[in-house]
Amino acid sequence: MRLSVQNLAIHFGGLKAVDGISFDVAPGEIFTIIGPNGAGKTTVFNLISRIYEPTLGQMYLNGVDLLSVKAHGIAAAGIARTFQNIELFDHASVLQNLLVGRTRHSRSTFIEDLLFFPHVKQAERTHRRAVEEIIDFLELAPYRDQMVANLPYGVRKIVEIGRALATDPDLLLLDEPASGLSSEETSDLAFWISDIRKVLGITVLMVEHDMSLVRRVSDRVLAMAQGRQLALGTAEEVTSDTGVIKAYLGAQHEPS
Amino acid sequence: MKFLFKASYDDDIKLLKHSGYWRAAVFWALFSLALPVLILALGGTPSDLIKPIHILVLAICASGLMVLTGFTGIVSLGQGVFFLLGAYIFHSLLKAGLPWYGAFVLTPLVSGFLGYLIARPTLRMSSLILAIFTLLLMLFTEQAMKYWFYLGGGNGFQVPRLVAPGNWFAHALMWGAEQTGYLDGLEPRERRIFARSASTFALYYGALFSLFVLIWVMNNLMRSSFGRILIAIRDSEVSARSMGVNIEHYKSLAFALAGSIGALAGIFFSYEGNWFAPENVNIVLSITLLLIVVLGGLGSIHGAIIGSVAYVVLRLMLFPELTEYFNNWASESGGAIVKALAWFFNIGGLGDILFAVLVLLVLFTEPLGLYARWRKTEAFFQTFPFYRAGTFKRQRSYSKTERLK
Repeated sequence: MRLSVQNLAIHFGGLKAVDGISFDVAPGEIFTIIGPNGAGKTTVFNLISRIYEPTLGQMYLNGVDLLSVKAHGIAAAGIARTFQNIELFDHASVLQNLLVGRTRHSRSTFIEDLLFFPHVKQAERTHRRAVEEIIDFLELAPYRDQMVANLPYGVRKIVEIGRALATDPDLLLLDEPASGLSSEETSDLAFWISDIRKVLGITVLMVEHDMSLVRRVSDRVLAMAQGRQLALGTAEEVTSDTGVIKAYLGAQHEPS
Repeated sequence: MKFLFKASYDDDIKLLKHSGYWRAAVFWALFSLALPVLILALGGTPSDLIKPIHILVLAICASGLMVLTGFTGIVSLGQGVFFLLGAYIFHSLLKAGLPWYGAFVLTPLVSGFLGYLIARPTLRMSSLILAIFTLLLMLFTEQAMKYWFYLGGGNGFQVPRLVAPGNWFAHALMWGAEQTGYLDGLEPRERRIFARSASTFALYYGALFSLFVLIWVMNNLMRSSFGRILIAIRDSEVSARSMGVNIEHYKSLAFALAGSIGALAGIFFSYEGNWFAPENVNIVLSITLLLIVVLGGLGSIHGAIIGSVAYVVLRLMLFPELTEYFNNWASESGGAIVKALAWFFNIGGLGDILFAVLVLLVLFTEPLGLYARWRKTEAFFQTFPFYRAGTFKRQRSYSKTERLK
């Protein structure tokens, strides 16, 4: 599943939040976008998931023009995402949250749902089985029937990844998956992210600040500042890039 | 104490999940079916059935509002619109010569379609603006119905005697009365009263069966993808959209569903009296419905029903009873305290004030309404004597590492 972003830009009035970004994500790759606060990383995510309309540029997912897809169509196009400030359905159980992820695969009309035809029941079983596989994969079984609002922060982060996986995506967008996690939880997350690629064969595009996680899992890293590209390459190449160091720390500091 | 062992996914899908559900369902079904007989056996008259009928009508209408407000998170002050539309569309169709069941099926469909149309312009509104929009819609409809000249305009119209549903029931009752010779002993006037009682029974059972079907449908809603999507929209629109939910479409569907259920309630409501006029449904009723839903508990089907029962029993039955009781007592014997109480109960609008205070008290102690209290009480007895006060408390939980910080 190749994502190709060409010369993408969005201007909010005079503010150029994203100003001509181009990159390609190869199938099976883990691609990370880094950059200081306000660099426009999350905006790139919102553009790819069609929440914002770009001012300029093109995006293609395996040759499909993403600009022709509506925001509620990106799940069907094979993209699933998580959010920086967890956007789960708080007053529903973990199971229900994951089942909402299966919406893309639901074929029944609302009349059929209201009358609960036998094939709706059969579909419910199928959805449940698919969701149970994700619950197994992410070790969420202890929380299955708990309300999301009652869960610890770290678990909620994982539930959100689970919900995205439930859509059975080809490309997974993770917006700061490690923010607010303890170092223990972050290293669990690193395993999961590489497993998502290895076991489920899903391409991952991620925004992350935690450089230890970025180094452990990323194949390639794109560094951004003020809406522009600073550097693109492996984690080592990018973190030793003088422009990147300057943007993060100022010139005289050594890279961490 | 009870532990549930789930052995298959169906244990989570099926409606009656364990013996407790069965017992409750059977009990309430039998109770509501036998209620008219109980009332008669305890010396009541068929006209005493009007209050239970009102409970059923409100419960049906409140369920519609629950879809909007409880599940989808759209606060609507306009549920009365569909109430009115339902009554007017239904009786127009009837007057135009449609058979009863034809009009009965068609009215919710038409009203649902209208609900879908009404929803279209509201989709981009914030919740406050939307609430104001529904309020204005209610005020508008109330006036607009006065120009529905096909059914008498502002004067309203005479409601024809209910022959169906439960027509068979009324017939069976009449037949039984004839066979046993009961009718022979009656004056013509008493005979007419008896026939009217039969139609009251028909109304009760018609509304009851509609509510049964509605409860089944609403439960299906909650266990299928449609209901989950509504809850997703309520809790986070942006992520619901990214999960592939077409928000506009589903919000419109929620409106349509609320509209058709409201119209269904409107049909039965129109039969409660002999005369139906636009004033019968006003903004107060819409607000009352919202209060019922909030009082019963947002986000559950039980909430709509418990709220309706509480409203009718406390506000429409207990309060007038108390007023009358103290009035009689005060006029018979003149104790100062009794006189003061009688004076108190006769303060204008006191019933509404007391009901408002009750709703506030419930919301302060139990934000999720009476149904939440019911569940806590149930859990108390189920786990007796091991109930912990914090069982249902929402608590912030921390993982181990978070606590060490």
